Amino acid sequence: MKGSLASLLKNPRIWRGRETHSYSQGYGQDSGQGRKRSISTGFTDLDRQLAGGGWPRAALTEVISEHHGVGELRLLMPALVRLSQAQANQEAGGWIAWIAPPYQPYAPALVARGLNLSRVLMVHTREPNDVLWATEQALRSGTCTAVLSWITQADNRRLRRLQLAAETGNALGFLFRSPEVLTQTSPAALRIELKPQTDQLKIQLHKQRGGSPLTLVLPNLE
Amino acid sequence: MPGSSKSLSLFPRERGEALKPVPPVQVTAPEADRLWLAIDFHALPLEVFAAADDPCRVMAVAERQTSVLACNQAAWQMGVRPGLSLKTAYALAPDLAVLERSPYREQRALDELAGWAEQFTSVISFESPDVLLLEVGGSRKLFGGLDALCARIAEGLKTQGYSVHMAVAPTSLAALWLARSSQSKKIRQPAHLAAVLGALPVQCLRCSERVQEMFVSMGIRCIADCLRLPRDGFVRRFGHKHMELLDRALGRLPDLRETRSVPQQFTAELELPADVSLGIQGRELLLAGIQRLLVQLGNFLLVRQSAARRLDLKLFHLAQPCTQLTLELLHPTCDREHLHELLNERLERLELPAPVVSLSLACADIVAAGHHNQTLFGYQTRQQDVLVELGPLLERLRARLGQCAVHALIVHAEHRPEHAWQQVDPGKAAALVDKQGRYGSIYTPADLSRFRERPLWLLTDPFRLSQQQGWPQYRGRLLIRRGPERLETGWWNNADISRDYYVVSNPESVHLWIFRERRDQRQWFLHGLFG
Repeated sequence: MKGSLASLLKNPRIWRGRETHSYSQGYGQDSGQGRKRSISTGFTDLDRQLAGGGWPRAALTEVISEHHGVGELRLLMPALVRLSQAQANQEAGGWIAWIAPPYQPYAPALVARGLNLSRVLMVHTREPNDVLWATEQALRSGTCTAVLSWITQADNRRLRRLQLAAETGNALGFLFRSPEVLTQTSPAALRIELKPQTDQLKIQLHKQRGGSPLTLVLPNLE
Repeated sequence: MPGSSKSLSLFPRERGEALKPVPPVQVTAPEADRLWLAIDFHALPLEVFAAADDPCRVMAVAERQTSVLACNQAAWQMGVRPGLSLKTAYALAPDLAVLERSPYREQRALDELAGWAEQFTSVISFESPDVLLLEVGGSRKLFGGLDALCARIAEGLKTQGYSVHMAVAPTSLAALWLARSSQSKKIRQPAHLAAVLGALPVQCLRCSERVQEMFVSMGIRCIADCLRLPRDGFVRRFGHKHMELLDRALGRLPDLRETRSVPQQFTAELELPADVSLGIQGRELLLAGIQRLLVQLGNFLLVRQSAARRLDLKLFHLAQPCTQLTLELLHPTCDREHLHELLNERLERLELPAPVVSLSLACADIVAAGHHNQTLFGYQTRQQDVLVELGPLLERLRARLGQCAVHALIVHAEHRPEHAWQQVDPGKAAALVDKQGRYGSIYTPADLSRFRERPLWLLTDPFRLSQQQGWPQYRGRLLIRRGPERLETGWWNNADISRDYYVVSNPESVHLWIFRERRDQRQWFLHGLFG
């Protein structure tokens, strides 16, 4: 009886509420080896809605928006600031790599928000193959805790390789893409779409590992 | 109780036990402190040619086209022997390929082997033309005894494709004679020298024709005969030289030998077996050749406990000047895999003007390898160590994308937006930040609060906006959010600005940072986006 019950519960089509509970308790706790399952986003409303309580660690997050500059960087800023200051707090620090950014990140503004520039690495390249290769190298190396990458075109197979690289290197991967990729499937753990409204930012969670899609609105991020 | 006190006594007689007979202690003489290993490469003239071990080809090596010096297995089966004249050899084996002996190649092979043997000992001596002498007395303990060491050396040489005779003796001359006579003996104690050497023929002494005839006429055939003769009579008849050789071999006189000096720089060359064409197979052959050179470099660095900081690779062509490739490393490394990856990346981007015939690798910039302290709990790293960890990733990215493609950022105390930041090497960016990760030395808190309202994206060149009814447009009509901020002057380096900056939003709800020139044409420009 016990054996058949255990094998029944191993079926992936069965969803158990206790798993989500353990995910949401995973954030903010040190599991003794310095590995956290997710990083808090800095916005409590968003944290509550995300399974895991934050950006998933050792996984890819796809941030989809139609234009650059709708607020995608400001959304990530609190988490990036915490990661870059981690070295000062004597946790395991690492580098934050920006790969093929569309414009130049303005260093004084980054500093004013608290980002530690001594941990920031910029990689400028234009060829799509080189962008994918550089992202994979940075994710896999294990020395980068976060990798922000502006990928223009990638098929499912390349994305799967990036997901594996993120798992190997225990890094957070953020891919910034345009809305036409929503029709394709993706191996990313989290997929969010940003739509700016007059004074707010509407965030639609299209896909969550261990959760369900939903919509929420954040007040003006400034 | 009386019984128990007897059983507790230390002395067996009191305990009532019978005495066991004590075995006699064997006194052996200690092994000699210095032991010389002689390696005789008897087939070296043939083995330096890469195609010698091919069983299908019948090959021999001749000196000045007179007689056969060495031949391979296939030629041996056809009846060719060393010492035959070439005409006879051709008669026995019509498809014999005869190669001219190359002393240059033999010397280079011996140098390479000496470099390989450096991992076993640092005292290495050459005995021309084809014997290598290693002093292994001090290395016995590390490698687990003399037999284990000899087995390891023999296996290593066999993998490299050399057939050898090895012998060990307390004096180098004795080891040399034993190896040259194809006797693989190991003499560990000086007392046994006379007995073992006695069986060797007297040709070992390499004496002149006249002395040789005298030996034959007197019936002296082996070294034991020489030793039996009275000393002064021997010296009077045959000269001091031969007695001195015998004394040195038996250890009565010190046997001094010139040892190879340890090279400080690494150079290695490799000839490619065929002209490397420019296609894909050519690249594979090239990479295989580079891998072999890197193995030698790895051994060189390991023995010296050093790391390489700069590599120079040269590719030689037949009729053109050589192609040079220089690899500079951010952080000195002795990791062979990492170097192979970096060279691979560089070669992929290289255009070869002509087929490559040989390679050479030189490494002049060598530093002592630093040792990193590891912490007990693993995940706490200091700033220095993180830069060290970034090194391989940085080098890989730069090797493929170019030196300028990867950089870090620093800030300057400057009001003009385009001059307030600068690209630098990742190592230098750490210097401006204090332990709390703040930029207190550059920015005051008032500066920081003002910069919090700056955009996160900056356009490197401001984009001129089109105007409609005197008002700027960017994908729709712009609406002012925050009033003008005037940024002016900069006359000290000829980049004078005079601008009014506004924070605006467009119908798509994207916030932009635009400015209007106060001089000249009073145009509107887009300078940044609030990300």
